[in-house]
Amino acid sequence: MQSIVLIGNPNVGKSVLFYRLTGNYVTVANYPGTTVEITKGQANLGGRSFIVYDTPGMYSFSPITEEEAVTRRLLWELVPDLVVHVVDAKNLPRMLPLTLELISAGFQVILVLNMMDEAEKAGVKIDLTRLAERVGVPVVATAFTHGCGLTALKREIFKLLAAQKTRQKLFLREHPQVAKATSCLQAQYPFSRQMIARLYLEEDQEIIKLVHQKENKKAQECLAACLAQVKKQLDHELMLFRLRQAEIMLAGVFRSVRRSQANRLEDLMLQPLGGFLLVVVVAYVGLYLIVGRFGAGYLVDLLEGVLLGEIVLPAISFWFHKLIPPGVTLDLLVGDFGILTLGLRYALGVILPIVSTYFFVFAWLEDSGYLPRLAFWANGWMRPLGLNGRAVLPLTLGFGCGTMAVLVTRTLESTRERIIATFLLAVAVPCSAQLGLILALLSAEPALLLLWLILVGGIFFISGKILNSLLPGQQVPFFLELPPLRFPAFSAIMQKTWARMRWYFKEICPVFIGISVLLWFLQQTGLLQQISASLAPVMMFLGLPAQMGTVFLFGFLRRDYGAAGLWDLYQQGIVGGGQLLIAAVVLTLFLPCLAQLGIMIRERGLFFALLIAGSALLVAVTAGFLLRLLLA
Amino acid sequence: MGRIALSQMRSGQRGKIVELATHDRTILRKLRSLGIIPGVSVRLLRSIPDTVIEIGHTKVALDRRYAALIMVSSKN
Repeated sequence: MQSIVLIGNPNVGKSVLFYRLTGNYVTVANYPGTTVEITKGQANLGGRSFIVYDTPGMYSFSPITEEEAVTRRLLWELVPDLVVHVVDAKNLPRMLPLTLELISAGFQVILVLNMMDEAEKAGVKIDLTRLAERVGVPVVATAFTHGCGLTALKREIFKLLAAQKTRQKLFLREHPQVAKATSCLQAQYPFSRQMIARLYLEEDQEIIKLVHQKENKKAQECLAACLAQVKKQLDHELMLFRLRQAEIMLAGVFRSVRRSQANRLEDLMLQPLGGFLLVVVVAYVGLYLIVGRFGAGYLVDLLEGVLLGEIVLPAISFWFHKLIPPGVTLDLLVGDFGILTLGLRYALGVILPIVSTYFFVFAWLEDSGYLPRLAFWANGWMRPLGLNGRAVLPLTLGFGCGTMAVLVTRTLESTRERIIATFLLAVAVPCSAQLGLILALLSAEPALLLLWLILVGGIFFISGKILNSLLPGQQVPFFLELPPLRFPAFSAIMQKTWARMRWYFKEICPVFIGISVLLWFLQQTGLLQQISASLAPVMMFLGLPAQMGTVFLFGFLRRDYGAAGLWDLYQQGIVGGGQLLIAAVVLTLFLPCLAQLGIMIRERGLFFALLIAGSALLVAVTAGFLLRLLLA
Repeated sequence: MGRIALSQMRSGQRGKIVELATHDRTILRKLRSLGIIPGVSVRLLRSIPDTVIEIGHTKVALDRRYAALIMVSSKN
């Protein structure tokens, strides 16, 4: 089957194109031996099927990040029949050099100028016909969010694939030193000899090894002689060379009427005080109103209370009791800790509405361009913690699902930052399920809620500061592109929310069911009561009733189970006032849930995961005890 | 026309990048990925709480430590 690879920087609409081409028949898999995800799907055009690959961001053939290295390796191994290079039209001068690199590597390329609507608004005019002539490959202008240009692009893809020609005719002039090295090469490669020669001269280790395997002695001597003549910073010089080449091609083709875009809202977001006010507004509307009141309140009542609690589960339970004789099996399915009555009820009734409303809000913030601005605003706050503004992304996601957030810490540059962020997520960032229930519990007494906020916030900053001074290394400076502010397209947000929900259910649902089974097992064997009882002295130490032991045990298995357990005790009047505050604080700081711990072990290694979990436990108990002394 | 670091420019001031004052390849490549290379025109939009520049049609936020490495010839 023929294959297409989509190439482009992040935030240029590549993924939207991918979904428009493939529909939803998609598989996501890690590239072997890496943590980089490659998305693959099947598309049908004019009765032919082919495979489409979506790749992580790529800026050039000389990779800096693992993502870029993986994308290059994919091109190398796959030798796709067609490469679709998607660029942000208004930034064409910056993006065209990569198009030229793809062409000079020998690929058949279509250049897609996306976000044409925004470019026009910004005063950019592009002569498409002349651009296509000069670059020598088809050029299509599109605006994917509105579905513009998609038909033309599909037609172009079909035409090129039907021609069954996979290699691009090379016509670009090369830098003299690269041209000289090219003539040394004899063997065949997935990339053109030009590209191999260039990467060789840039001393790309992967390529040098390969060339040594494939070329004969004479060719190797010839190459070594070329390399000896090369200046140290050749990669920089070659980059400038390509940039000039692109500039010449764009002369008279790409015109931009400079329009200064003063934007009040943007100014507000970037200012220290305005940014703060906006954070408060976003947290109030996004977290409190939409996730808290609507998701955790209204939707949970509807799904868990009415739909599952009154209709579906009683019916299931009724039939199961009729069909299955009482005993262990029946308990496992519909007992107190049954797979259906506890696992499924929590997964579908409580977690689904809370987490999906959070993901919806998050996708909205992402697509509107607010998150990068939030990252900029928060950079100053993050610095004392040894992080930079980029850490805002995983940390905010942590308010949705800590497990997913630990995965997203991959986007941070250094191991040091990843450890700090993982720690903060484990200790002082409550997930949406937990947050929703704690807000509901404490909102009856606003003073307690405020105290809780101050305590958890304080511990967040103090533990970050301590880690920053303990860990070797330095804080990594911040850099980030600020995409234009835009009103997000509803369909794109739904698609993102849906993709994250699917991940959540694939990864988390089995954990839920597993935990139900574990709880059932612990209860059947009497171990649950024993463990709870062994926690009683700790509870006394914290000034809490003994029943709280079970709540904390639950809290480890699923953080929100814990919060839900606390809710029950509060309703029964067993816990109240100051105890409620102590319990809420300790529960927030307490061990991350089992799923998050699992991901922590996978991402950070067993040593760091256990160290972080142990510290979380210590911090939680210490804070609880101090709070008890304070309240007494 | 004076040669100063981007971090010394005033908000609203324009200039042309003439040099990146580092040999650290990782930093050079990071800057390049944002389009920050010699010969390109920039405008400083904001320096508080950190640097924001406009380069082509893109806005880029930068740590001051990076801004100090970017040498520009400034116009007033």
